[in-house]
Amino acid sequence: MIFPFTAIVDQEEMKLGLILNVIDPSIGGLLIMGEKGTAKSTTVRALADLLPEIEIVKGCRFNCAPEGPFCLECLERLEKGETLEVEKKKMEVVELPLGVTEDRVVGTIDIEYAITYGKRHFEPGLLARANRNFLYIDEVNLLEDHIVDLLLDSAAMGINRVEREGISFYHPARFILVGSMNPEEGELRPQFLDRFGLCVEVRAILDKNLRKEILKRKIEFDIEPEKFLEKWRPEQEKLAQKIIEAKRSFKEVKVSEDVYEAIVGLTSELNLDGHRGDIVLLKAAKAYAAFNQRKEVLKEDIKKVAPLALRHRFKRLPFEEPESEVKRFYGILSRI
Amino acid sequence: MAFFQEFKSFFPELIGNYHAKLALILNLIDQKCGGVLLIGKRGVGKSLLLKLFKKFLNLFNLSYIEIPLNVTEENLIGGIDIEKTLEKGIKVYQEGLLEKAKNSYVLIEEINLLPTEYLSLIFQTSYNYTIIATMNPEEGSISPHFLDKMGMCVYMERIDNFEDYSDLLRLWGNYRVLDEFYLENYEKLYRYVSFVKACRSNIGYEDTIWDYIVEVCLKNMVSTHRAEIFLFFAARAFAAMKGEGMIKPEHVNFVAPLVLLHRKREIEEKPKPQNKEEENQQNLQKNQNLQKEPPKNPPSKGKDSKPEREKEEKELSDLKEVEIVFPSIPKEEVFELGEVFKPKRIFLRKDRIARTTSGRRTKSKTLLKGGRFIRSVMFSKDKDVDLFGTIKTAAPFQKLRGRKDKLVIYKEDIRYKEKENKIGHLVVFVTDGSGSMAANQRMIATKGAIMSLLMDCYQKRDKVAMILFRKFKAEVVLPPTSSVELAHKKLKDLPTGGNTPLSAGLLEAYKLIKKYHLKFPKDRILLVVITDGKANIPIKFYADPLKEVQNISQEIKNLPYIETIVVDTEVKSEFLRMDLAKDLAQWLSATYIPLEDLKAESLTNLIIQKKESQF
Repeated sequence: MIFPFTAIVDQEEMKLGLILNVIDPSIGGLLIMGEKGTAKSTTVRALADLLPEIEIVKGCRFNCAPEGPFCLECLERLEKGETLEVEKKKMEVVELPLGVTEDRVVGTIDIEYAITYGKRHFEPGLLARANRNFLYIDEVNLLEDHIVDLLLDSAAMGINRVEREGISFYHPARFILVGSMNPEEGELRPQFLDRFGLCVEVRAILDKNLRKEILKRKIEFDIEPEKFLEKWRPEQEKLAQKIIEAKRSFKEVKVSEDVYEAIVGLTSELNLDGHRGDIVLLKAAKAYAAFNQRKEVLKEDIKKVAPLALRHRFKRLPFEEPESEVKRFYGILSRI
Repeated sequence: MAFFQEFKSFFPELIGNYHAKLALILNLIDQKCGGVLLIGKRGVGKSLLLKLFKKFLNLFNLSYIEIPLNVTEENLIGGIDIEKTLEKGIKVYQEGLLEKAKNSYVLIEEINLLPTEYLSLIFQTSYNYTIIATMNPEEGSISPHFLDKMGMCVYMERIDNFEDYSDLLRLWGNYRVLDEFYLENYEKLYRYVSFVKACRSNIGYEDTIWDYIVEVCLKNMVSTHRAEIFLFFAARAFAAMKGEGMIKPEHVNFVAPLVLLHRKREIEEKPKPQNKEEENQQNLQKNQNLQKEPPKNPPSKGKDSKPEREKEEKELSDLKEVEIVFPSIPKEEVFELGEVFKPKRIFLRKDRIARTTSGRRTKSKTLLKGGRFIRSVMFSKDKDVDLFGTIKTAAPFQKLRGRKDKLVIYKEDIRYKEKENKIGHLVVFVTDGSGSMAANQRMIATKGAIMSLLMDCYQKRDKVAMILFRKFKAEVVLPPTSSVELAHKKLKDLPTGGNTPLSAGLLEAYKLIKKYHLKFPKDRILLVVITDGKANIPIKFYADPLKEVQNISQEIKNLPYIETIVVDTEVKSEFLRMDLAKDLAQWLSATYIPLEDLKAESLTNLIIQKKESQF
C-alpha cells in the first residue's frame, strides 16, 4: 500500500519537479538534495503509484512501447512478421542500491541459456526494468564512479548498449532518473550533476502545524490504509487527470520570442556552461504551462521553474558559499 | 522506577538494562516501532540481550533471520547461484535473506561493521521487517542516514547495582532451578506481549497528542519526520503496556529518549544557522541546554545516557572555551583563508591487501561486489564466478569430454572475478595554531594550503580529520568525517595564537590514528603535519619539548599503515631560518615539503586548466 501523493504535506517544489518530469520525460530527471527523513523516496513512489498504467508490448522484457523504439527482441519479432500485442502495466520505481554491480545494472549473459543451449542470450538488468519507469538512486553521491558512467551513457542515449562477455545487445532505456543526496556527505561529480534536468532542495519542515499535519496523516495511513486511500481518491484522480492532459498537450504549448529572450538573457547573465540549462529551462516552462492548462508559456512560468532548472548549474568552486550567486540569481529573476 | 520492577523477570539472564529491554518489548508489541539499535562498549551485554531476544523468538516460533557479517550480496537479495548452476547444469536459485525476512525480525550483530553497500540494501524500505542490531561505537560509526531509519536506540552501560546482582546470584547455585526459572519467565513475557499486542489497536488518542509529539521532537532538535512517526507508535505501545485506553503525554515522554537520542546527536554538529528557521532551532537548543532535562522524562534518560551526553556536552563546551573565554588575549586571531591552489598529487604505494572501502586515491583489490573487473582467477575468497572465463577455460576440452548438447564444465574449470577499486583514505591534518604562525600572516597562506589539500581530498573522496595544537594543548577539532564541507567550515574558524605544543599535537594524532586503525584496519592513513617545527611547550612539565617530539615521532614512524608528510610553514626568505621542520620530517621519516613547494609543481596543471575553461 502506497501513501497517496496528494496527501504529502508541503514539499511543493519536489512534487513539481517530479510532475514536470512525468509530463515531459526528456527534461532529464530530478535531483533531490536534502536531509534525511523528508519523504524523498515516499514522494517518488507515491507519484509512480498515482500515474495511470502504461502500454507495453506484451511479453517484452524491456517494457518496449507499442509505438517503439524497440529492443532487439521486439525488432526480431517484427521482422518475422509477428504483430505485437499490447498489455498494460503499472509504472514502478526501480531502486538502484549503492553496491550494485555492472552486471545488475546493464544486464548480462543468461547463464541457464548459455549452459543448456551453449548459446549466448541476454539477461536484462535494472536498466531494462527501468525503461519507461522511474530509476531511483538514494544517496546518489555515494555511488561508485564506474556505475555512474554507465548511467550517464544510457541516460544520454536513451539506449542501453551492452558489449561484454561476448554478447552484443541493445534495448531502449528511457527512464526518469531521480537521485537523492545529502550534500553534507560529499558532493556529486559536476558532470553527473549537470545531467540531472532539474534539482530541488528539500528541508525538514519546522512549522509546528505542518509537522502535526504530516504526523497525523501518516499515522492515519499506517493504521487504516484503505480508509485513508478512499478519502484521498478524488484528489488523486483529479491530479492524475491533470497530468494526463498536460502530457497530451505540452508539445503544442507555444513559446513567444519574448520568452526565448528572457531565457537566454537569464542564462547568459549567469554565465552558465553549456546549453543544457537553457534547453531544460524551456522544456520545464512548457511542461509547467501545460500543467496549468495554458497554451502559451508566460514569463511567470520561467520564474517558477528557473530555480529548479538552474540551481545546480551555477558556477562555483566546491567550497565557495553559494549564497551570493543565489542572491544574484534571484535578483536577475525578479527583473524578468 | 516502580514500573520497571516487573522488568526484572523479562530476559532474566541479563540484569538491569531496563531501557534496552523496554525497547525490545515495544518492538515485540508493535513492529511499527521501527527496530532497536543497541549501542555500547564491549561486555555490556548487547550481544547477550540479542541472543536472549533470539531465544524468545525461537521459543515461541516467531520468524526472524540473522545477517552475519560475512554475508554476500547474493545472500541478501538472492539470485542465481552461478557456482551450483554450473556444476549441476540447471538454474539454481538462492532466495535472498531479505526476501525471507518479510514482516519478521532481522537480527544483526555489529551492524556498523557491515559495508555501506550492504546497509543500503538492508535499509531499503520495501520489506516490512524490524531490525534489531548491536554496535560498538569504538569500532566505527554508522552513517546518520541509516541511523535515522532505526526506530529506537539504546545506550547500554556496565551495571554496578549490586542489589540486582544478588537476586541472580542466589539462583546461580542451582542450575536446574535456574533453567526452569528462565523458561517460566519467558512464558510470562510471551503471554504479556501477546496480551498487550491485542490491546494496542484499541488505544485511543486525543488531537492534542499530535501537538505534543511535534513539540517534543522540535524541542529536542530533531528535524526528521521519521522521529515523530516512530514516537507515536512507541507511545501507543507503551500506553498499551500500562493498560491505559489513551495515549498521554507521559507515555510520549517515557519513550521519547529511546526514539530521539540517536537523532538528536548529529544536529549538534550542525554548522552555523543559515536562515531564520535554523536560528530558531539553535535558540531552542540553548533553552534546552539551560533546562538540561525536560522535567518529566528523567527515568529513562537518567541511567543509560546521561554520562555519555554529559561527556559530549563537556567536550562541546571545552571547544567553545577556547574560542570564547580568552578573546581578550591580544594575539588570538582568526585568519582568512589564503589563496587556494591545486596541490601536488599525492599517491600512496599500492599494496596487496583486499579492502572494503571506496574512494579514489589509491587503487586496491576489493572484496565488495562492486569495482572494476581486472582478471579471472582460479581461487577467490568471495565466490563471484567469472562466467566468461569459466566457459573459455572449458571450451578447449569439449570434444575430449564428449559434449553432445550441453556444455560440459568440470569443477576445476570454474574461474572467479578479481576486481579493483580505488580505496579511501583518512587524511589527518595536524595544524600548528601557535603565535609564530600569526607572524607575517603565515596562517593565511597555511589555511590556503590546507584548503587546497582539502579540495584534493574532496575530489578523491577521502575522509579527513583535523587536530589543532596551540597554547598549552592539542585538540581534535574535527573527528574523522567524510564531509569535507564540514572540514572547510572548521578550518575557516581555526584560531591562532599562543605557544607551540607540537608534541601534544603529535600525541593527539597518534592516539586518533591508533583508534581509527582499530575501527578500519584496512584503511590507509595519511598524516599531514603543518608546522614550522618550533616546539616550545612540552606535555610534561619541565621536559624538553624537542626531545618529546622526537620520541613521539619515533612511535608514529613505527606505525606500519601510515605515511606522513611534513609541510614546513617557516618563511624561507627570513634571515633567521631554523629549518626545524626538516628535522621533524626526518624523525617521522616523512616527506618534507616547504609550503611554497606544495603548489609549485602543479602550476603547469593550473595553466592547462585555465586554458581549458576558456573554451
